[in-house]
Amino acid sequence: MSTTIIEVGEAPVELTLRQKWSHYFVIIYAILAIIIGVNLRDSAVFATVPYSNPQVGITAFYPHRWMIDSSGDYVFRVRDMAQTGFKTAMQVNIIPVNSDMTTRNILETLILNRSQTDSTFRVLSQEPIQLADNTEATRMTSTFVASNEDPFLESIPTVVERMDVIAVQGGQAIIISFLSDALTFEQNYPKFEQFLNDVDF
Amino acid sequence: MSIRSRTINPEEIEQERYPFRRVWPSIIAEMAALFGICAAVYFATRLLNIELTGVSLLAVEFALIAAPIVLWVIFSLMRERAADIPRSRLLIVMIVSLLAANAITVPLSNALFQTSAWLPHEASIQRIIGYAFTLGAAQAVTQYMVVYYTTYPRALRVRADTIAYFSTASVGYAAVLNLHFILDSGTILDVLALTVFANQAISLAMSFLLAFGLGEVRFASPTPFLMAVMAALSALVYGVITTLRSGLVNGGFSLAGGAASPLFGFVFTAVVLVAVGIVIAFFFRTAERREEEAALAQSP
Repeated sequence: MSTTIIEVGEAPVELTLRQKWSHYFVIIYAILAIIIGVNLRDSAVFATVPYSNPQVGITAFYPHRWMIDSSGDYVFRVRDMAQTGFKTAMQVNIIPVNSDMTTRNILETLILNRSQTDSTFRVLSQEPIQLADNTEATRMTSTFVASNEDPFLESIPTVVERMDVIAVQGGQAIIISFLSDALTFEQNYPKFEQFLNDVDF
Repeated sequence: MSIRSRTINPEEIEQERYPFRRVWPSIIAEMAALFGICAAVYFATRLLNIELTGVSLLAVEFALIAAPIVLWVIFSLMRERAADIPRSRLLIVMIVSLLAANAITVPLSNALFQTSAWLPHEASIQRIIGYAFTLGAAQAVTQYMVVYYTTYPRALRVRADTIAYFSTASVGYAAVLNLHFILDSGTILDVLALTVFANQAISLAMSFLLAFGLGEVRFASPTPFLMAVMAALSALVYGVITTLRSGLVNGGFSLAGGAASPLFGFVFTAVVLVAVGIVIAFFFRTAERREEEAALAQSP
């Protein structure tokens, strides 16, 4: 004896071609919006302003809306003033070197100076690198603790991570530095990478 | 001889009872109550200088974040249960929109677009476009996808169903935004009150446009581009309200001095929500009338 099971269910609703395409167009819109949104972000975040100094022979592109100054003991420095706390900075410095000096000597001088001026200065790493134009350089990563110089602002000191790229060329050492709050270093690093790729000396 | 009085009134004609919950009164009640709660918290904090700390502050913050969902439960979900033919998927839409927003859209759009790093520094037009193509589009598409994949097409029986489901999705999405706001920005009660209302109002205004689009796709035969256009429009509404509201809420910077006017931002958001609601309600009514006329014309 066979048993027949009859399943009673609602008939499926057939979508019309217009309804199907209506849904597909929303998906296409979503993909386009993501592409346009990412493009808008990149054009704003990675927008740059040209900088040129024929006296020292440097051309660079620094991030848009960053504040530039050249009044210190450096060729120029740009800072992101929109950041709260420690202002992320990139700095280019040039020091004359004689033929006897090696990159190691320059590094040791930098370490000696900074250990006297920067609080809790520590060197994390030193390694040889190659710049975008195949120039041999050395990269040094270090940290120190920065406190706000304004006595009217009460703030907790910030741990700053610093990266120096040192290249010796034409009797001078070019030191390109990147300083950022250690907590946001990774997040800010792509801007320095772009800066380093575009700098020409 | 007895005198019998007899009424001359005709017997009552039994009206056909509308079997579904009426959506617009629920939405109006929810938003009016939320407006009142947020305004009360704002005035109590700012004008009466009531300062809460510790557990009482936490309780008020929690109550503020929970308010839109509690109001939705009271005015939508519970009234839905009392309807002759209830909309069975409201709770599913709420849960899925909460999960989708919290697990996918909000973290993904924050990581991908990083709007806080660049959009606040842009000029107004760029900000409107930027918000429309980033957070606005993400929110619009999420709300659409949640409603589409949980209700379409079987659970949409009348046009008002789209409003019911999209407004539910908007409550879920806004709840996640409110939660992220309090976790990321700390605890300033008056700011939280205004933000809770703004998030809910923006989300709801967007959902009106999406609901109209999906209603047309389901019950009429519009151009296939309509739904995408309505999604883009709702994203644009997000961009416009967010940009103009933040311009009002944050104080300007000028030689004459600047002062923040959060109340203007609060009222502006409410006015835009009402304006979008009136326009979409008019479109809904027109579409329904058009359908009724078409049905009458076809009947023998």
